[in-house]
Amino acid sequence: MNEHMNIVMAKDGNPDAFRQLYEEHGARIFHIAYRHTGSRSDAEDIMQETFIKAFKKIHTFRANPKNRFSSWLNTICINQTLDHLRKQKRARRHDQVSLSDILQGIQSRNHSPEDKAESKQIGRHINNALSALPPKQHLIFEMRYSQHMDIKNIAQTLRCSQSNVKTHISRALKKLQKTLEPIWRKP
Amino acid sequence: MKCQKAKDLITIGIYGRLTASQKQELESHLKECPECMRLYEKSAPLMDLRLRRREIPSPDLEKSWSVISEQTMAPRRFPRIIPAQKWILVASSLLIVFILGYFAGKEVLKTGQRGFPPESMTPLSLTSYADHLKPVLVNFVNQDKKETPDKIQRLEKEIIRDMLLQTRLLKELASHNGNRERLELLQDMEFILVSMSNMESGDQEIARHLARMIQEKNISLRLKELITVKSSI
Repeated sequence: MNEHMNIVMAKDGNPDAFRQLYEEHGARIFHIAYRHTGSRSDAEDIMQETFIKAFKKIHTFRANPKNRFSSWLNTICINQTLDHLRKQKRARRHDQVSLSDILQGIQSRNHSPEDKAESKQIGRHINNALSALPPKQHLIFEMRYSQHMDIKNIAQTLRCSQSNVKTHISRALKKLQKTLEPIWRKP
Repeated sequence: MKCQKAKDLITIGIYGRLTASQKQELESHLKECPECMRLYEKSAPLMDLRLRRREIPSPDLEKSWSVISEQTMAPRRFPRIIPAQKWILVASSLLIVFILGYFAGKEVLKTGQRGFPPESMTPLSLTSYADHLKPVLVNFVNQDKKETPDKIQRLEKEIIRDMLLQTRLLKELASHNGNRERLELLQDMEFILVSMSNMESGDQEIARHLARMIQEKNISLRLKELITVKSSI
């Protein structure tokens, strides 16, 4: 059965159609959420919330060449991720160890963070620096530089202007560079 | 490439992922710029670390499906209101508000309580009151309601309501001054005007009864006498 039929039947409340749509798009939505959160349980939560919202609102979906079901689902997923990042930002605790100190430890030995604990520490620090950005800036930075989405696509997904996306990217880069300055400044 | 762009690319390499072309761009700049090379060497252990850490795990699709289906396929407690039903609901609510408002207004007008007559209204002199009232009564006694257009009937009702307010004001004054004769006349007038105000256009029997009452109670004559007595005093 094709996707269009599944959507029509899902609008009518058919459970098999819902299941088919989930099987077709579930893994992709999970990957999007995982790329932004870096956590399996968070990504699963976002995936569930995305499908719950999509199935409850499926009667409002109008398919056309510009509005495909997958794009509609992506937008819901991105919005759910944004909500999730906002909640996470409120509850976050900051890592007290500075990136400069961790890096000094690595460089004093062999120039490579082979040690698992050190590698984890750096990873956490990087995630904290990204999470310290305003949620929308964080999301846009990830979309642009982890998923390599183009500016136009990001603007369409988030329903904002391209110049707005560019502003967020430039501000995010400036803030992240500030976290690197202590390392760069050291002689 | 400018040094700021190189700094941006190093930052992207740490917090995101560089594309092949970005890597190439950065490398060719580093060959020419020792200062950027120094920054790059300091940051190199951090670059692409996120990429290495990020092997995307597989989700537990079955477990998630049980949560999704439980939330979306549970029987609805309340049936969803379809747009047509919504409009009927809105229209009937408006109709109810209108009907309640109509009867509430009618009731207040009948009982003369709660703000009637309004405090801001000044009573007419007895002469002007009689002058205003006379054509209303004459018209009512003589006219045939069936032949009067709706617009005129509405206008007449408005005049009757104004006269009712004036009657109540004058009645209060008469009661305050202890003028019994005037009070009796104004009470009769109040009854007649309230009946006229509440009368529907098809109430021919009530209209006949009121016309008879106006004539039997000698309303016109009593009004005339009242004005004469007042002016002679």
